[in-house]
Amino acid sequence: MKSLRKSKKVLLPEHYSGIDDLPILKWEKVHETGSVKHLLVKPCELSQAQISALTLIWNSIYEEYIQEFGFSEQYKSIIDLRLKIAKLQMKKVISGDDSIDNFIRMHQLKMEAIVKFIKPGDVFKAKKAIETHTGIYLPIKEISVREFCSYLREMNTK
Amino acid sequence: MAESKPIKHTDIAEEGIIRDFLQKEMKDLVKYIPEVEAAITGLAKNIQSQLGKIKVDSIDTAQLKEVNKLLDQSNQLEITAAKVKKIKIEQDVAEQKLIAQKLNNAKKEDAAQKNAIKNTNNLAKEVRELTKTLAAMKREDDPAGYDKIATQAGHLKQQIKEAKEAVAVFATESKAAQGKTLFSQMSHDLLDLNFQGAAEKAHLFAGVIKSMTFSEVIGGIKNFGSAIADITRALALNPFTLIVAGIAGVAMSLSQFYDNANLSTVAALNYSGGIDEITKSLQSATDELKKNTIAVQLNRGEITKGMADVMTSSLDVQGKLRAATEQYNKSQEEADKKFRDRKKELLDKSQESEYIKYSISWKMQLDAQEEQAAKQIAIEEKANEDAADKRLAAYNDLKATLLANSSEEAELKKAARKKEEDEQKKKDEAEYKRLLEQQKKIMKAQEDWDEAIEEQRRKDDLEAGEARTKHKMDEQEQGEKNRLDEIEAEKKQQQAQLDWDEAIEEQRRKDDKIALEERKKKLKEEADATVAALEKSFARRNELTKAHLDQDLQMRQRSILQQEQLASEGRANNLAFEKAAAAKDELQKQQLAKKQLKDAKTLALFRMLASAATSEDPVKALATALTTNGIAEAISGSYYEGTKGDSIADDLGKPLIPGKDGYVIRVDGAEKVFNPEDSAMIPKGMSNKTVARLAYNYQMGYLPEYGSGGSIGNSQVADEIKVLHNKFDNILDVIKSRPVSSTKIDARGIVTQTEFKNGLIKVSTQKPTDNRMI
Repeated sequence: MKSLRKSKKVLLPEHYSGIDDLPILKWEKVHETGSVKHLLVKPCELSQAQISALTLIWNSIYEEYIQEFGFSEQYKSIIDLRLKIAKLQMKKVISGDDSIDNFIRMHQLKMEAIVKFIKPGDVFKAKKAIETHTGIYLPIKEISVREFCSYLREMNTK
Repeated sequence: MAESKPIKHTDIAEEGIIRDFLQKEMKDLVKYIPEVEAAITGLAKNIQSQLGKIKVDSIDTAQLKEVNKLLDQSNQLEITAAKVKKIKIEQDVAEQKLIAQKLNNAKKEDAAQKNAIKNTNNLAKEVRELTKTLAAMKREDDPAGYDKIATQAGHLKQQIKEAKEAVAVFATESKAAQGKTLFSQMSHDLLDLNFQGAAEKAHLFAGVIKSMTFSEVIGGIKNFGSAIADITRALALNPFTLIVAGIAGVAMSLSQFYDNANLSTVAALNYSGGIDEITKSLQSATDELKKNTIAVQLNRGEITKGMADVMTSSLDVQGKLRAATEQYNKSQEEADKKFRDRKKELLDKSQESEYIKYSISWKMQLDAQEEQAAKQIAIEEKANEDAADKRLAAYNDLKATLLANSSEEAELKKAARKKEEDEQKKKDEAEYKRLLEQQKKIMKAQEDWDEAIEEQRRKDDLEAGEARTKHKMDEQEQGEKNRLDEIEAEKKQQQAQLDWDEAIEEQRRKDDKIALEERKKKLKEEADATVAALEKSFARRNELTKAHLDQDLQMRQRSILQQEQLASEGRANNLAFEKAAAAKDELQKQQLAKKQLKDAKTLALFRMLASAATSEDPVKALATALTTNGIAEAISGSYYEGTKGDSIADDLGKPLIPGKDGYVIRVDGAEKVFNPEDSAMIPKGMSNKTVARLAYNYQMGYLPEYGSGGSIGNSQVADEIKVLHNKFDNILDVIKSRPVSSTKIDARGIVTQTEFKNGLIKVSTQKPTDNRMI
């Protein structure tokens, strides 16, 4: 006997669903504003359920990006520092030695220095650099995240 | 990553539940704190172990999620540990406050005692002054004044006595009276079987006893004598109370009290000597009541086991405190008693000396004795005060020790609170200095660190700038090289693409050529088969036609000979008809010869078509072949000039390829096609039928012949037609009147003659034997 319950489906307007079709400019917009509405092909108003569904799609896109291009060295450095701080916190909890706070603070300062050094990427500058490097014109409103980032990766590896 | 933040007010608000719980059952919670700390430590070790396994270099998204979860857990764990630590500190502070409060209360009580003693001493001093006055006076001189002073001295002595009693009782008659009333009511309730009321009274009684200091209890115990006897009697008379939980505690406690204090002899005791025993027994009974109540509440589930332990422990501590107080009180009472006895003794001696004062010889002795008594009183008062101070100090020490021993935590703080207070202070100062130094070092290290970070940042910026410049130049060079390489590679790729396309095209051409050869071969075979079949068909048809014509012509020749014979004999004959038929046969033979020639041309054409189809350039080969053989013109002429014969069938014979589409004209064999020039001569709108009728009329001579290019009017044509009609009528009459006969001889030699004249047919038959006409 079939269940009478049906899963509630959320209908979404036409949207981008992967790094192969998502333009790099839209990718940057989502990062800048934090709004997943930029994943829509044509802008329109969304309900809360639709925003939630679109957020899941964005997470999958971001996962796909990480799978393809991995983490940056700076981000790995930050993760490393966070792990060191967490280890020191646990050491403090176990030993009850409050002087460990000094070492925790030291690593926090180091991490703040790295974070401060990191500047947000300018997609237009990157575009110009790629064009200079490859001699190919990049239509920034159309070129996909995968293609754009592949060019960047190729530049970095050379 | 969230920083480790100090606990703020908002954090405390988050602890609302814990804080409320602490307010209600703080001791219970404190008991669990070690377990919580152990759990936190275990969890921290677990997280520490998991953090150690993570390799940042090979981290992926799934591991990153785990890392974030571990980091959140570590943060939360650190916050929780800080909160537990804060709770422990608060608990320590609260306990210290409680101990300090108890000590303050004890000090207040002791100060009240001391004040009472001082007041007593003041009164004694006043008595001494009055005694001196009396010693200086003579009753005979002023009996009224002497009596008045004597009375005043008596009052003062009474006040001293009452003050000493007040020191013991501390004026707590109200609470004692309340306790006695409750005790009496409790006994009445028990006698009336009002167990609920008795339980309530017992509860209130416990509250009253609890609120009384040991001095109040000692002072008020005298009032309980009869009440205790009453309630004991009531319990003895009513054994059912034993089964009531609340009252069972009362009964058992008082029973124990009865046994311990031996109340059967209370009435016979002097209260001053029996107070101690009664007080002790009453306190013991009260404690037992409380313990039983605690046990009952625990059994009912009204309190927890932890709370019951705490309450029982508290009772034990109170019991010890009471024992210490009792000991102190006993020693105090003994000291007071000695003091009173000694003072009485001294005063009595001084009063005895009053009777001697009338003797001059004893006056000096009296003065000396009084002075000595005053000195002795002062010395002993001072000694008494010193002893009281010492006892108070000893009592304080003992009480503090007992309070410190009241719990395990208090014991741990004993050294820090009393004996090691100074040491602790020194340590605190040293720790403060050390922390100050450490703070300075940390600040210095912080500054050094900030400076190092800043320096490193500057270096990094500089190196990054140089690296960027070098990287940019390298990139440009590399880019140029790469572009050249790419151009070269692109050329090679294009060349390879061209080669590939050419190979593909060559292969395609080969395939096409093979396919074309196949098609040619097949077409040639089909064409050869078709031509052969056609040639065979033409030959067969011509042969049959020729044989038929030869046979018919032969028969005509024989018939002509017979008809010529008949004609020579003057008999009827159809010589003309036979000759005409023979001439027609000849004509058909000639046409047959033409047709054979045309068939040959047609076959030749088909052969050339087949040959052209199999050549390299079919169109060119076909044109060359047609031109060379002059057939192209013949073919085009035949199509252009229209049919030569009477019909298409006459020109072409049997149709070879029956066809029917938009571009192919389908004609029947009897149809006639005009060429464009002839078609242009036919007036527009004139139907084919009209053209055919005109042609027929012309053929029959119904139409006049005119010069070429001439034209006639319709009336003229009509006139001519009328003339022709008349001629035709005349000819028709001649024809009708002219006899036409025909003769036929069958195989048996019978001759049948048929004559047609004026519309009538006359048939006569002649047999060979009798030559008669039938």
